[in-house]
Amino acid sequence: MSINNQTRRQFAKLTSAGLSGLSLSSLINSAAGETSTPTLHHLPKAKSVIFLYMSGGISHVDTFDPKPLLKKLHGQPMPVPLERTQFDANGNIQASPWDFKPRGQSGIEITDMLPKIAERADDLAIVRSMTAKFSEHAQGNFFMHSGFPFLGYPSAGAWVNYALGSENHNLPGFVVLRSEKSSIPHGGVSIFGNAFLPATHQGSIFNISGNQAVPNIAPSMLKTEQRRSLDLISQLDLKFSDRIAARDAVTSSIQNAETAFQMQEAVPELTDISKETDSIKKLYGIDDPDQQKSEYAKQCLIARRLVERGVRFVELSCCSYGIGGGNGANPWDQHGDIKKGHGAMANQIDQPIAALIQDLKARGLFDDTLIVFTGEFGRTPFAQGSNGRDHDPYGFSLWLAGGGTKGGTIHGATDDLGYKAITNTATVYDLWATVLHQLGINHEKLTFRWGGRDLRLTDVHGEVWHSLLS
Amino acid sequence: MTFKKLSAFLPAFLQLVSATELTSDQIEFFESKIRPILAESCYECHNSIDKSKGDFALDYKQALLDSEIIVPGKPDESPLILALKHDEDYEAMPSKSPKLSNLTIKHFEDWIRMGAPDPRDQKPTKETLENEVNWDSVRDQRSQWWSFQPIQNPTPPEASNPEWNHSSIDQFVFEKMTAAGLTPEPQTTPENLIRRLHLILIGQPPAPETVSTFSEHPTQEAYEKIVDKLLNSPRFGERWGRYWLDWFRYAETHGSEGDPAIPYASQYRDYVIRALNADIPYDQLLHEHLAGDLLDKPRINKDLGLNESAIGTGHLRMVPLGFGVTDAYQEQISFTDNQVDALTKATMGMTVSCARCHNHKFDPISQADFYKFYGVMISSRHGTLNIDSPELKKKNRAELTQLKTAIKDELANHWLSQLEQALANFEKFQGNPADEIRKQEDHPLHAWLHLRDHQNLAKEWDHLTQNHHSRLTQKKEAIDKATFYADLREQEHYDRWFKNGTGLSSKVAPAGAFAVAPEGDRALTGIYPRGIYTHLLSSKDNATLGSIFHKAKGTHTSVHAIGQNATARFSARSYPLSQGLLHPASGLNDNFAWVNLGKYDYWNNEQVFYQLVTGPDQTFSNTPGRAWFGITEIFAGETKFPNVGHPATSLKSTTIENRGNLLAFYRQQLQDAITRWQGNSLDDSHTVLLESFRKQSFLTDQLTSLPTSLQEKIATYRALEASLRVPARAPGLIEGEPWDQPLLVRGSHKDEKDPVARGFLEVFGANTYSKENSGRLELAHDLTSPKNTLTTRLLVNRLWHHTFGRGLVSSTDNFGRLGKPPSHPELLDHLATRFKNEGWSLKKTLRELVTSRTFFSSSQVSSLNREKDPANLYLSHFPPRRLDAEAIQDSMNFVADSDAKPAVYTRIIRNNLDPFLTAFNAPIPTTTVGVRDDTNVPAQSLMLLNGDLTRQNAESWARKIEQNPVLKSPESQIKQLFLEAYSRPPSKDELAACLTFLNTPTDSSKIDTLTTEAQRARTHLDQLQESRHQLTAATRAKLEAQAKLNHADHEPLDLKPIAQWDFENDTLDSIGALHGDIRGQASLTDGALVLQSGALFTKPLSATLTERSFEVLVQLDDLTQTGGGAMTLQSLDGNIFDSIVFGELSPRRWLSGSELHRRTKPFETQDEDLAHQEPVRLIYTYQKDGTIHAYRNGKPLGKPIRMDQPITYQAGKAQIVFGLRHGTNPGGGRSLIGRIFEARLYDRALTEEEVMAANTGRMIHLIRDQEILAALPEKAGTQVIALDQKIAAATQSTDDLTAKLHAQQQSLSNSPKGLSRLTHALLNSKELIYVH
Repeated sequence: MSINNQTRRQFAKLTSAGLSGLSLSSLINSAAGETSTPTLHHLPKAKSVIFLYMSGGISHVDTFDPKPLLKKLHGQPMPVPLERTQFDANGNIQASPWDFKPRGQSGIEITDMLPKIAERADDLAIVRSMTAKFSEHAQGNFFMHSGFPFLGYPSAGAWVNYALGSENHNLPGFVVLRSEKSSIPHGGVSIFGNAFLPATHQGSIFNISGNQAVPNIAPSMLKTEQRRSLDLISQLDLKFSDRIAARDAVTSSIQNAETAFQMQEAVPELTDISKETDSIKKLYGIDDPDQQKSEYAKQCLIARRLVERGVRFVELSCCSYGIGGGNGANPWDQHGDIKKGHGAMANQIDQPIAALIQDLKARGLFDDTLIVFTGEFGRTPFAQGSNGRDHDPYGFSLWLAGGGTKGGTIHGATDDLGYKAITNTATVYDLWATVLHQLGINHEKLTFRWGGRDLRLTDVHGEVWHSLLS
Repeated sequence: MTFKKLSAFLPAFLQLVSATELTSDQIEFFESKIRPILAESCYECHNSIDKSKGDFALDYKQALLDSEIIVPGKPDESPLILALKHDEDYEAMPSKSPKLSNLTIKHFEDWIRMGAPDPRDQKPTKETLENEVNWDSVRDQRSQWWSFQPIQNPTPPEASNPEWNHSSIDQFVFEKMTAAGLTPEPQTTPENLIRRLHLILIGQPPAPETVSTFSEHPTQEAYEKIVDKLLNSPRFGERWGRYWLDWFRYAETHGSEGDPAIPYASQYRDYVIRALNADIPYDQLLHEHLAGDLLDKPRINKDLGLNESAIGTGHLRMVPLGFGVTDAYQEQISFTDNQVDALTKATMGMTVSCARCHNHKFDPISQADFYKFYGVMISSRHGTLNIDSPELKKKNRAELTQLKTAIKDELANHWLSQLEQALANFEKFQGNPADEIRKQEDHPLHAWLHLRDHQNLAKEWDHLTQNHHSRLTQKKEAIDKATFYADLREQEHYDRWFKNGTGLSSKVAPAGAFAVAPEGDRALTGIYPRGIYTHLLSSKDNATLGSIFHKAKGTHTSVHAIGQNATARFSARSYPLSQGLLHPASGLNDNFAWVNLGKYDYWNNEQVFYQLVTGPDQTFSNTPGRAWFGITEIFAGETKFPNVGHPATSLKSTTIENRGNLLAFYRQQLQDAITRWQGNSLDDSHTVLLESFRKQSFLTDQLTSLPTSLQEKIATYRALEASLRVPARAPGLIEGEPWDQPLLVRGSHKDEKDPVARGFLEVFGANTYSKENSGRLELAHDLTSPKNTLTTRLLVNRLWHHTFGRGLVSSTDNFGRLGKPPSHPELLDHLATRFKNEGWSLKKTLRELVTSRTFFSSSQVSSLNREKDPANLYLSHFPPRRLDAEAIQDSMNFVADSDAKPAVYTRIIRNNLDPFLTAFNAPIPTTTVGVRDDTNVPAQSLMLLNGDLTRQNAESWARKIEQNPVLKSPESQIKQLFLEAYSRPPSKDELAACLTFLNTPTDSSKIDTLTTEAQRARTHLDQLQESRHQLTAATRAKLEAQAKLNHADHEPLDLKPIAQWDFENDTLDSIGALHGDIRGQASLTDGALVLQSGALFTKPLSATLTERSFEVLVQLDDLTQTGGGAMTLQSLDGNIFDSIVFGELSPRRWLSGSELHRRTKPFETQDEDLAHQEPVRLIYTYQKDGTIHAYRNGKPLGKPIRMDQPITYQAGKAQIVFGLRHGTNPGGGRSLIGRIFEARLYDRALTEEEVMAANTGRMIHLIRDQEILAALPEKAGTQVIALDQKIAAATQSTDDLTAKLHAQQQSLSNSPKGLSRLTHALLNSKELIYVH
């Protein structure tokens, strides 16, 4: 049976302060163009999501899924048959160059590749049995974002934004941050696309390194001139709307122009971090001499500012050092030189992400913000060439933090070699089912009818990871 | 469904029914109205066998009663009815399905009211339950849906209002409208009607003259003339072709990593546009879309020399593809699914691909149906088609063939006459020790090289003979064990291959086949053994040659082939892309060889086929130009295939005693070879011998050495060949191995069931297709067959949708159960019938639509009509709406008189879609889009407010109006703008508002305020700094005096540069050897290097440099120049460099330039304001850790910058350049214009003191701030610290204000001026981008 009226009223009470006009237009469980009342399916634990995407594929056996057997068998051939790999240059077993030890109260083992994040072990809910279906970046990226391997399906951020709407009129509800040294993952911007959902839910990419975070955000003329121009336009438009039977469409597009006008202020204000205190900047590593790290730190800080401003879904992009195959689109992709490449990448993200958790906690935002940390796949426990690792979609790790997840927990496991998930095998559908669950949404009921199908972010799959939730 | 029908497959069940208390009427009611619904919609989740959601089952009487979801006799109290009615307190049922029809729900109510008579006394067994949900019955039940009913031809109902008897469309519309209690709105104005018509038919507004001419005499006749003119305008196809491209998800790349191009994709776009302009019948176009390459009578475009029909299958290539996939079968499913999905949605509104994993959830489409389509698709292959007209393909062929015979004959005669000379040449042949021929025992000339000086010729000859025989035996064994072997010298093998292209004939070429070289100094490209060759007439010919599938097994596969600009590969599961690593394609060489195709072991157990293809025809990356290949054998298996050739010993069994014998033997064989070539009776061994003599030039085919008449023939041949055009090409499908695809259980390729015979949807009959070909032609017939009730309805509905903004069926791409039923079913059928009867003409139908009274209605609506029909389902008025993205862009370009191409020609790059069009809802090319979204997002407003398109068009539109001499007053200009944009004059109010807008001066008060504020802040800052200076002056002076004492003042100033240039009389380095040479316009004048657009390049460095400093004293001719380098250290090729650069990224700023902008950053500093008046001294220091300091006249230029790694310049590989940012040729935007007075190079990073010293000529100990602070009296110290805080704040605020001021000034200069202020506003107005 559907949510009863009492839940509905409770929900309305809970969110009446925050719900905006935008969310009123986004419907759960509706067909395009039909109207129904927006509701959540159950009480939400989180309001926003920060998606830390490790494009290129971060190695699980060097980070969150330590495998002592690799050390023992280092240099020996894999004792099990191998699946087809992307580069087909399969070497022998390669022990992790990083040591691992138990962390925090929970004693979860994490390597010292990410020392500061490891200190946060008791905040992390780790999935060690993730799987993906694709061994190639673009398909992997699309799959991880939308549950389908190519463009045309909405990104998770778009779904979330469609379900919940933004709490901020002047900022989009789904923001993707990037910097000078990061670029769009393989597959292109459609990875963040709204596909068939209304365009207002698409990911807006903010390039925080340039002076125009968003295309066309800089006023093309003097603000006063623009104001006068907009006044004339709306005067003409209003008269036009009187003459035709499309008044609502025209007036809402007049409103839209006003929103755009406001955004010209809101976006630069958002990305201007000069007013943040020195200690906050230091915490994140904003002034770090390592340019990549400094850029990523700025992304993390801006992610916090976005969440503070009611943005629903923020995705971050790692910056590239160009080591071992990792480039702008896939900076974690160390087919060679994994020690150097992953080492540099880890140094880039470790302090900023740990700082983000700390800062969110200090501001009381951690419980409302669900952090998701994952790549599109993991990396093979055996070497590619002499010192790299190939793609491993058969088993890898991700973690969640905040947003009602239970820190210091682990779900699932890979085999002793870290090659394939064997216990509680997890999928991207489960990931998004869990994320939606925390946001108060039943993933099976978040649907959109398009092209004759009721489509879902989780397709026809998805199990919530209840063991990771508090 | 009737009782009788159901009983046919439920005999067992019926025996169990104890129907004693039930009447036969009750049983009939239950069996016909209730049971089928329960079975189809409920049992899956609520049964007593394996799934009982909510803990109840509905599959027999007792379970139903136990469930308590019905209260017999009381439908209103039965939860079942409430759930079926979607009562809000109950979960809507059936779950995840469309609501049952009202009639069905009423049946359930009636049934409960009757007391729910239920003959199902027994709990079903698993088997009986399965039988109840038997697919055939489900399908038959579902095919009751309206869209599967035969198309009717209803008589249009007479309208009571004569105006609405205008056309049959109007009669149908009027009937529904009045039935809904609506009154039709009056007609719109003639002006607006013409505007509406233009926007809908051609996507841009009319010219004002067109409007005024019509509105003066708005007759039906005049109107229809305009309609015809627009339908015949080339813009029509560009407008409506774009819709067509939406239906077939047109794209020019495959997306995914690398976003590879679909070669020649735009041919399909242009084809669609031409086809719509020519109004080609729709059934013809559908045939072309499925099988245009297979039509007996293709449609020929004489003007372009094209086979238009052949282009039709292009859309089947526009699938998204993964890059370098590791699971090829999964990928095949994915792209084939996309083909089926787009095709069935675009043409029938059926979501056939929903049935990939199971029977369709709602429509009468079985899982087998999906695999029937799958089979048709996979029986064809992705390829490039030669779309030249048959006439062009035949051109000159007969002449060329004839000439070839004559050339051969004459050349053979010539060679026979040259035999002695050839043998004399040959006799001298010794080869060099490393000659390949020495290693290849099977080369026909090997015996000569090997034996000519051998002691025991006879024995060795036998030895060679035996070796060859044992290789032949090995080969035979390898063939026996091969996974795959094809001998393309055998006609019966070749017959099984799939040939496409003018280069491939149906017959194997005989030994001695040859190609005349199209250019160059030799007559022939080659003489070949038996085999397949694509260039025997011309290397412009195209060819794609493919094998059948086989399952890969083994480690090795290779092909014996020859070619130029051609590749051989195998394709795993039809994957059409090549990517070096996992999907290699091997290039061929102009020498027969066994070419390893690679990665065969990786793809073991996968179905693969071979493909040889000429470069321009590759589906992955086409390489233009001449191309050809030849092939004789192909092999796959566990071992490498032995290379067996045609040694001399294979020519003839003979005895060789000495060199004389051997030479005589060769003479005899060569003579035989030539004679037999001439007589068309050559064998492979003699062909290879003959070709070896030709290739080695023992027999020459050098043009100049040939008889004149032969030379002439070859020249004629070449001229004829040159006049052939390079074929036009298009993406498409080519026939492959007919393939019945196994059904995949739950869609998983790891679970194959029996193959499904190809055929059409079972709901339209159960025919299967030929086993001889792909079945595409049959599919095309079925798509357009009268049995198919969807195709015509779907198309006329699409036309209606794009004309009236909403289809009669609003779900244009879904005519199934999840779609919407038609609002006007009779009208839809009427249109579909007429469409078919009148020749499937899109234009005729559109003409009917736009000449109807319905089309003429005003876009305003009375409140009464609005209340009764808020969605305007019944068309009491014309629905106003925003234009499509392309029409917005085209309309703007049209009013602005821009010469930009129509938006339909924008390239569709999947990973980089056009931002403007995408913002306005141009579709993402993944699947069929019949209805575009119409969202309203700020990005659109930002695009219009701040984007380039509006900006540029605003300017050119304003210019056009301002330059029109007739429009003298602002009033007349404004009026003209309105006429052009809106097809109407401005109202009084609008005119007044626009005039006021134009007359109000730009408000620059903010700039004035900011200027004042910035000045005030600067003054304040100056004051603070002055106070600080006063507080510290005395202490500083004291410290300086001390320092002077300490250092005496004669510290010798030698900063020890490693190179120094004073440019007094020469360009020599006065310390080292980095002497310079001038290139371009530069000279030495008055002790300076004067740079016009030249530069000075020095000799290479003699030492390797990482840490270093540059010093240069430079004066600029002007400060507006950008991007010139004063002093540069660069690699000798100019690619890697560090440079002192002026004005590159920011005007008037110095920056540190470097390759790929790795370090290029302007220093955060003031603009240069002196260097054009006097020389300034610039010093850049480069530290080991990557830090770069820059100084101008001894003072730091902003903050240092820090880079990842400093560049190291190697001795001998780098040089200094003056006057050029980098490179080897001065000029362009990299040159500095000015003069350089002196320069130095240091092999270390100078300290700040040293920099000062370089500037003043004296070495001074710098007094640092800390020293002064330490030396200050305590009170003054505290004051200074306090002051410093204030100074920091004041500096920040001065900088902020200055930055804001600059931004404002920039905005002011960017703001539209004059009339373009108004045109920019009008381009932002909604009326311009609305059709109404």
